[in-house]
Amino acid sequence: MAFINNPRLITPPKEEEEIYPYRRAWRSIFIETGVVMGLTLVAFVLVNFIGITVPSEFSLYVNVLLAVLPTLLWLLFSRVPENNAVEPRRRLLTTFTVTALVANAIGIPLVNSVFEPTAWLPLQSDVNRILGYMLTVGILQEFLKYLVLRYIVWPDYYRIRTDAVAYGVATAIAYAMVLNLHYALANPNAATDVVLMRIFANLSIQIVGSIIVAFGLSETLFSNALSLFLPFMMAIAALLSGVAITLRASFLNAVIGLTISSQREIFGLLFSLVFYFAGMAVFFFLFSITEQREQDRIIGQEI
Amino acid sequence: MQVIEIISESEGLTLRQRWATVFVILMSVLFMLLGLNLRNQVLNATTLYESPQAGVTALYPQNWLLDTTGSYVFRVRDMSRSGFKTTFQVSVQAIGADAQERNLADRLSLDRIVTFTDYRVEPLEPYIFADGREAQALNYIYVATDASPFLQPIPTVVRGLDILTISGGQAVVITYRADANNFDAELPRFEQFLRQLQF
Amino acid sequence: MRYWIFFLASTLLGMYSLSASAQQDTPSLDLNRIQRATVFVIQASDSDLDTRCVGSGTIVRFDGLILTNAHNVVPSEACPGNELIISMSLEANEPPVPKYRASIAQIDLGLDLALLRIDRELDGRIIEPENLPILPFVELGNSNDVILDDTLTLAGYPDLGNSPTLTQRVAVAAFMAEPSGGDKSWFKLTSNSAVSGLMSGGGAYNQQGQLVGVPTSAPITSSTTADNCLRLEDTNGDGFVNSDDACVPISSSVTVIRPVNFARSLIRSASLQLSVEPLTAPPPQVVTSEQPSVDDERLYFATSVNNNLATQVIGSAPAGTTSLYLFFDYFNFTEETVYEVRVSVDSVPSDVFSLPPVRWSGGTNGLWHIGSTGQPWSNGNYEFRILVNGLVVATADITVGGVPSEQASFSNIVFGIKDDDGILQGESYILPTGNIASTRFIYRNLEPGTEALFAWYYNGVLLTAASDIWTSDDGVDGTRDDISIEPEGGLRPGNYRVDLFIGTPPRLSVTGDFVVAGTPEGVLPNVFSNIEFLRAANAFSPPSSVPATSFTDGANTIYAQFDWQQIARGTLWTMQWLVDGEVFYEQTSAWNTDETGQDFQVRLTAPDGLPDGTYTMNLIINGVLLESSQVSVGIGQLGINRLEEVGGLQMGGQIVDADSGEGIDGATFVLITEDFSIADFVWDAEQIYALAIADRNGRFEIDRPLEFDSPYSLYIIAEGYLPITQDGYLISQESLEEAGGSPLDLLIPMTKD
Repeated sequence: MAFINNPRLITPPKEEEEIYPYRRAWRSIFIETGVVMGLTLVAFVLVNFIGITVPSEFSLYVNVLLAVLPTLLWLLFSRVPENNAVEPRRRLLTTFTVTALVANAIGIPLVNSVFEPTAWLPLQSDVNRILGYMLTVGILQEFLKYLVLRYIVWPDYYRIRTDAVAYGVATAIAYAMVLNLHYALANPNAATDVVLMRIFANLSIQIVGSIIVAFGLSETLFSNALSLFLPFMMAIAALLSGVAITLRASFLNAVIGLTISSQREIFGLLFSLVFYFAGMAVFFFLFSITEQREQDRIIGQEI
Repeated sequence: MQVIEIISESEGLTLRQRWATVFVILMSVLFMLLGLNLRNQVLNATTLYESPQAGVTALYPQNWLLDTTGSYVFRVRDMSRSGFKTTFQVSVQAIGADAQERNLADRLSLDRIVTFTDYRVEPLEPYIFADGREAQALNYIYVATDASPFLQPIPTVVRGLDILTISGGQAVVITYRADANNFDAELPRFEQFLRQLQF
Repeated sequence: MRYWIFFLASTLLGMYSLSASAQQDTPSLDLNRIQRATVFVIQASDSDLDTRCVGSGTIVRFDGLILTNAHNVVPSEACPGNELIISMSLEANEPPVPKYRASIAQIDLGLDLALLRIDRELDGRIIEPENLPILPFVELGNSNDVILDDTLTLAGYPDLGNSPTLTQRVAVAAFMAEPSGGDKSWFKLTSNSAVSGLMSGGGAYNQQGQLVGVPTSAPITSSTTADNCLRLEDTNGDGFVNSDDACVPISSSVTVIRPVNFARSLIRSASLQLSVEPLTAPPPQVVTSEQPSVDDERLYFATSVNNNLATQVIGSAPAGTTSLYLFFDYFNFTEETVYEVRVSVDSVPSDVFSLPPVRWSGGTNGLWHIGSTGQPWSNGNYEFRILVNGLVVATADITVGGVPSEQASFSNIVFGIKDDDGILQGESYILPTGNIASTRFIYRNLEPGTEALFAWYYNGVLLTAASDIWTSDDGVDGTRDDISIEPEGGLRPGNYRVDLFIGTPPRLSVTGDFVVAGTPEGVLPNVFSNIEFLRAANAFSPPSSVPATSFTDGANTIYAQFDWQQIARGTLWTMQWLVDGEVFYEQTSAWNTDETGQDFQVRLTAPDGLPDGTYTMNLIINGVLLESSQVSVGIGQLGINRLEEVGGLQMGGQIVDADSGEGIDGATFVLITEDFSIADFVWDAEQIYALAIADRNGRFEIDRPLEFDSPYSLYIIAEGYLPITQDGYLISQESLEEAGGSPLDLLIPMTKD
C-alpha cells in the first residue's frame, strides 16, 4: 500500500516556461506590411482585371483612409500589443507623433521648397537621379527620423536590439503616413490600386531605411561599433532610398504603345516588393546574427 | 514560470557613441549640402551657342530647346515648364544711325501692340552690362495663349524684359520672358545668361 | 493534288497581297480630317460684329487658306459685312466656335470662289505667319476625274452654326458645260439630295478624300434676302429684334458643285501671295447702266462644240443624243449678274439639265453656251428658258428624237489666210490684219441647186452677204475653203463673225467668230512681241533699265513689258502667268488701250519678294497662244515645303498624370525626326519633326501629318514628371487600321518620382 500511498512520479517535473517579455517586433512588421501588400494586390486585380472602382465622390475619403491604413495596422498590431507585453516599450506613440510632426513641418517643406528634386532631377541620368535623391530626400528623411530617435528614445529606451527595430518602424510608419496623406490629398481622384501601390512604396522605402538606421543604432549601442558605423548605415539607408525612388519610377514609367501608353504598374509593385523583402531579409539576418553573437558572448561569459 | 528581464544600462554613452552622433549630424549636413550643390550644378548647367554670322556667343541653360529658325539670332525655351515656356532670345535688328534705344523700344512696343494680347509696357530703365556697356531695360507684360485652335489652354500672364542696346550699328535685343509667377525666380538665371553673353 | 493545293494557296496569297498593296496605295476617305478642315464662315459688320451672312469653307493649305464661295464673303447689298470670322469645331461632334478673323486673299466673283487667309486672332490682333499653327487641310483632287454617278461626300455646316460639321453623300447626276470651264463647268446633284444652302462654300470630296468641288448655292441677292432671312440679333441696338434689324439671309439648297480645278490658280497665287497687275491698261471695271440681256433672236443648238463655237447648228437632235448645247449672244453682263437656265422636257421641269441661279463667269458681251454632254437626252421637246437676275430673257426649244437628219448642213468652220498657192494657212480663230480672210467648212447633203448664204459681220455690224448656188461640181459632201471676205480698206482689227445659211428661207447651219489683230507673220499674226522682264527693289519703285531672263539672286518685283500692234479695243485677250508650269493668274478682258504701242507694263510682285521659281507669261487671244516668255528667279524652281504634303497620319492625344488621371497642362510632346535617336537628341529645334504642347486638359495635337513606316523618336516631358522617351516609334498603315484609323489618339500617363 505504501506503493499506493507513495506513488512514483514517472514524468519529469515540468520545467518553468521561459516567457519572452517583449513584443515581437519583426512579426508585427511583417503582419502590417503583409496586410498592406495583400490589399494592394487585391486592389490591383479588382481595378485592372474586374473593373471595380471607387465612385469618384468617395475616392478622396477612401484614399485618405488608405493613407492612414498602415498607421491603423501599426496601432493594432504593434502599439496595442505593447500594452500586453511584460516589458512594454515606452514612448512608441511619442516617437511616432514627433516623427509625423517633424516630417510634416520640416521634411516635406524642405523637399518641396529647397531641394525641389522634381524641378531638376527628372531629366538627369539614372545615376545622377539616384545620387540626387540620396543627397536630398533620402538623407533628409533618414536624418530627421534619426534625430527623433536620438533625442526621444535612444539610448535610454533601447534595452534589446529589437527595440531599435520597433522604434525605427514607428518613425517609418509616421513618416510614411505623412507622405501618404500628402499624396492622397493631392490626388483625390487617384484610383485605389494606384494609391495603394504608392502607399506600399512609401512604406517599404521608409521601413527599409529605418531598419538600416536601427541596425546602426543597435550596433552602436550594444556592440559599441565604430563611430563611423552609424553614419555609414545612414548613408546606406539614404542611398537605398535614392535607388528605390529612382528605380521604382523608372520601372513604372510608361512605354508608348500605338494608342494607349501603358504605365507599368505591375513593375512598380514588383520592384517595391523585391526592395522591401530584400532589404528586410538582409537586415533581419544581420539583426539575427548580431543578436546570436551577443547571446553567445553572454553565455560564454557566464561559462 | 520565470521572467527574464533585461534592463539596458544607461549609465552614459561611450565616446564612440557620442562621436557617432556627431558624425551622423556632420555627414547628414554634408550630404544635404552636396545635394544642394548638385542641384545648383544641374540647374546652372549650360550649353554653348555660337553664331559667327551674328557675332554672338552665349551659354544657355542645358536641356532648353534651341531654335534658330525664326526672326531672331536664337531663342531657347525651357520646354519642361508647365504653362508658358520660359524663354531667352537674342535678336538683331537694323537701325538708323540716329536712332537710340528709346526709338527701338517704341518700335518694339508698337509691333507688339498688334500681336500681343493686353500688352502693357513700363518705363525704360537703364541697364549696365557686366563689362560696363550701357543699355536700356524694357519691362512689359502681356497675355499669352497657345495658338492651336483645337486645344483649350488657359492664357498665361507673361512678364517680359528686353535689354536693348545698340552695338556695331545694329540694335541688339536680348529678351527674357516667363510666366509672371516664375519671373522673379528665373531672373537670376537670365542675369547669368546675360553675364555670359558676348556680342 | 498537293500541287493543286499549293497552286491555289499561292494564288490566294498573291491576290491577298495584291489587294493589300492596292489598299495601301489608295488613300481612303478621312472623314475626321475633312471635318476638321471644314470651317464656318461668318461675315459680320465691322463696327459691332453683327452677323450678316454665313456659309461654309474648307482649309486648303496648312497656313490657313480657306476656299469658299465668294457670295458668302464679299460685301454686297444682301451681305454688307466687312469682317470675316472663322469658326471651327474643336471636336468632330461639336458646333463651331469662333477662332480667327480672315481676309480675302483671292477672289473670282464670276466663278463664285474666294480664298480667305486667316490673318488675325478673334480679338483682331495680327497673327504673324510664323505664329499661326499648322492647320488641318485637305488635298485637292482633279475634278476632271469625276464621272457621272460618282458618289461625292459633301462637308459643311448645315445651319447657323448650331450643329457640327455635316457630311452628306450625294451622287453626281449630270455635268453642265459652259465656255468658262468646258464640259465639266458644274457638277449637278440629284434632285433628292436636299443639301442645306448653308453648306455652300464647303467641300465636295471623292472617295479618296480629295477635294473636288465646292458646293454652291444660288448667290444671295436682295430678292433672296426678302424670301428667307433670319433675324438673330438686335443690330440697331433699340432693344428689340424686329424688322428694323439686319437679318441673315439663308441660301437656297445646294444643287450644283463648282469643280475645284477652277480654284487651283487662285490657290496657287494666294499661297505664294503673288499678285499680277497690268499697269498700262488695267482690266476695265464694267460699270454699265444697261440691263444685261440676251439676243433672243439668235439662240441655237448644237450637239458638239469646238473652240467654244457650235460645230453645226441643228434644228432637232436624233434619238440617242448624248450632247446638247444651247448657244446665245449676251450683252452687258457682269460678275454680279445672276443667270439661270430652266429646262423642261415636254413641259415637265428637268432638274438634270437645268442650271440653278449662278454667278456669271463670262465677259461683258459675247457668245455663250450652256449644255451637257456624256448623258442621254431622252426623246421629247426641250424648252430652254434663260433667266437673268430672276427674269426670263430668252427661250428656245428643240426636239430630241427620231432618226438622224439627212438635212443639208455646214459644219466645222475654221478661218485662215490663203498662201500664194491658195492653201488655207493658220486654221484658227485669229487672223492678222490684211486684205482677205477665208473660211473652211464641211458640207453634207447639199444637192445641186441648193442656195447658200454667207453673211460676214465686223464688230456686230453686217459687212457683206453673198449667196451661192450649189453646183454638181461641188458635190453633195465635201469641204470648201473658197469663201472669203475682202472688205474695202482691208481687214481692220476687231471681232468678225460669219453666218452660213442654207436654203430658202435661209436656215442658219453654222456660225463662226474670229478675231483680226496684229500683222501677218508666219502662220499666226504678230500681235504681241518683245516681252522683257525688269527687276525692281519693291512694288513701288521703278524697274531697272536692264532686262534679263534670269535673276539668280532673287527678285522682289518683276515688271514684264511687251509691245503690241493692231489690236482693237474690245478684243478679248488673255494674260496668263505660270510658276513652274502651274497657272496662278489668268485674266481675260477686253483690250482697252491703243491699237498699237510699246511697253505694256505688268507688275508681278509678292509682299516678301518673289519666291524662287520659273515664271512664264503667256499672251493669248481666242485660245491661241501668241507670245510667251519665261523669267527665272533665284534657283529657278519653287522650294519644297513638306508641310504642303497632305498624306500621312494625324496624331494627337492626352498626356495625363498616371496617379490622378488628370491632364497635365503644359506637357510637351516632342517628335524627333527619323534621323536622330533619343541619344542623339540635344534639344535643337532642327532635330524636331513636330512639337506639341498640351492644353489644360492635357490634350495635344501634332499639327503635321506623320509619315508611315518612318521611325520617329518620342520625348515627352512635363514639369515634375519623369520624362518618357522612346526610339523607333513606327506606324504602318496596317497597324493604324488596327488601332482605329487616323487620327491616332494617344493616352500617355506620366509618372512622378
